[in-house]
Amino acid sequence: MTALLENPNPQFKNTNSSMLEPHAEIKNEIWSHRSATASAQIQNPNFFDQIEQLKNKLFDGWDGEDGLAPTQTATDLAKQVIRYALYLHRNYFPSTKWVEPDLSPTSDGGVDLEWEIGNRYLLLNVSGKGEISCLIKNNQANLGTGSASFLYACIYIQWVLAGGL
Amino acid sequence: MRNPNNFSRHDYLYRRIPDTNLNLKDYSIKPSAFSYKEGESVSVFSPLVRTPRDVLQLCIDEQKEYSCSPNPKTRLKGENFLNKNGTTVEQLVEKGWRVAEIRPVLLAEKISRIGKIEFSGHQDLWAKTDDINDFKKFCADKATLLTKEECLSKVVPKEIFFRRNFCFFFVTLISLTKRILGTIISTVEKLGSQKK
Repeated sequence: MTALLENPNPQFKNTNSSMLEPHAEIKNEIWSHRSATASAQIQNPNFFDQIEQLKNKLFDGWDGEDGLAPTQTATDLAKQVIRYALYLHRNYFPSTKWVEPDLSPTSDGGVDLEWEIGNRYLLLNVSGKGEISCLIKNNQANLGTGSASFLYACIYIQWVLAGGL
Repeated sequence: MRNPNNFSRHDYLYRRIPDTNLNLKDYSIKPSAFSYKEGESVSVFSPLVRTPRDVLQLCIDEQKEYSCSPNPKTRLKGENFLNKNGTTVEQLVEKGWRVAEIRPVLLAEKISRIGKIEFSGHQDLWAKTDDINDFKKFCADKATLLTKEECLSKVVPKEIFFRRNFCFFFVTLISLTKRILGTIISTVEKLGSQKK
């Protein structure tokens, strides 16, 4: 696990200009928490076990309809996002507390990762085809919604984690 | 527990919620419970025709049918479901499955249309926006999860009872009339050919 965190090897997919880009407000706040001086104490996240369990547990038709089991593409990408978000958190944002996302399957073979910390809310969807999309809310107000790049998804995670400060 | 006769069933729709789409700590509904594939709709059921228990029973009946299918893929799908979730509504509810109630009027800004009520009570709900995440979260926030007792209740509201029996009576009447008319016509034809 530690090796994975040290070497996240992110794949910067989906980086076209129509992607949902963080507001200046979000960017500024994220950078204000940035600190490379300390390394956060993170317990080994059990997200990786959870997502494996979910993938092994579910089968096509799990929802009683035509729901697809989580695809390899979706679970791999979700793991990469968390791995890189953890890397960023550990090395640059140690003042925030790492919180595991709430994980659940979607009918297209994708997975939803959900955080609600303080007034901040992030729903990050990795579709069965391996596309990332987000819904970001602050105080119940929509800050943004739409497809997001790998890197922006990781930045949003840092933003939502800062809601606990 | 709410008396099912005390509210208007025109105002609600039921949605089946799998255990994996519920937060089992506080029984809150996760947005993924309202996920749908691109270009497809969300399946809901009309309380005019079905009780929450019926909605779960329909799912089991469908899986039982699948498990007897000659198609190996469909058969496996049905068998997997029944092995994992059980073969009765009680077992399904014990596993964590529930039914949620949604009021279309609260979702009006996110829904483009609601399909016709099928004979089974099934209806399609079409999202207005292409943004699935926004739709899912909105629905999850507005939906109300029914309790274990409400999902298991065998009480059939009067309206549903009459409607169901009326449908049964109507279908039986039509098929009987068809048969009788068929017999009369064939008898008349036989007599006609004998006379000739």
